[in-house]
Amino acid sequence: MLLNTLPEESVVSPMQLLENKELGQKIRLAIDSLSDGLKEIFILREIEDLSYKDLAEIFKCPEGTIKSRLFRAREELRKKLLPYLNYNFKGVET
Amino acid sequence: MRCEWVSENLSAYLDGEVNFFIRLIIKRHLKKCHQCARRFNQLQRLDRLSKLILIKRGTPDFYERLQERLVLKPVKKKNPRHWDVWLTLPYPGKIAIALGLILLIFFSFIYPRLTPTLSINQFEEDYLRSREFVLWVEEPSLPLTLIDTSGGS
Repeated sequence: MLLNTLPEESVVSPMQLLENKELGQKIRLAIDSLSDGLKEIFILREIEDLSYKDLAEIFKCPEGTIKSRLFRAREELRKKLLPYLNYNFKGVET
Repeated sequence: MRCEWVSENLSAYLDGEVNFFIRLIIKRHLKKCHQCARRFNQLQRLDRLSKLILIKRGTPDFYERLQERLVLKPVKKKNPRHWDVWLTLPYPGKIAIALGLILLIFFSFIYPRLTPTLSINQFEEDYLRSREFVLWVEEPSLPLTLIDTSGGS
């Protein structure tokens, strides 16, 4: 009864929940597997939303280095999570 | 070549860290190239998911470890040289400093030699001489005015 009143997009099936939980774990593992230099920059960029200039000041390196490290980190993650990035996931569980 | 260059810059494009022209080039390329557009969509999705997971779960001891690592990292401290400071100055600043130095040298050493120095003794002598001259001119003029030259009674 209650389920029928909810919009279709917000309803997540148990199977989807399971898949999303798995995806969450995969992403976490993939991020953890990054080397320290890449992981720190990637996490600071994602959580704190710091600009390349700010990151360059924190890590005392040129902005170009930050740019290439973020590119490498994202490429590594993209390749590892490629099978999961081509689908739409609803309410990712971690 | 274009696809390779675009894919290298996609990460910065996603973060909004590219200049106006690069953004325009990539935007146009993404409309034409399905492969790069797909790669960009994957990066966007990865960005959303990783943000969600990192913020939701947090990263235990991340900041503490980061701080430790940054402290351990040797910092190359450069001693600033005067020449470096001079090089970093903008052109108007350099011109103003150079002009100031030239004026200082000119008024300290060259200008005093060009103009005669004022001596109080010399001034006094000149003044007295001029006074004597005035008196010498005025003295004979007084009796001359008293002489009646009209020839009347």
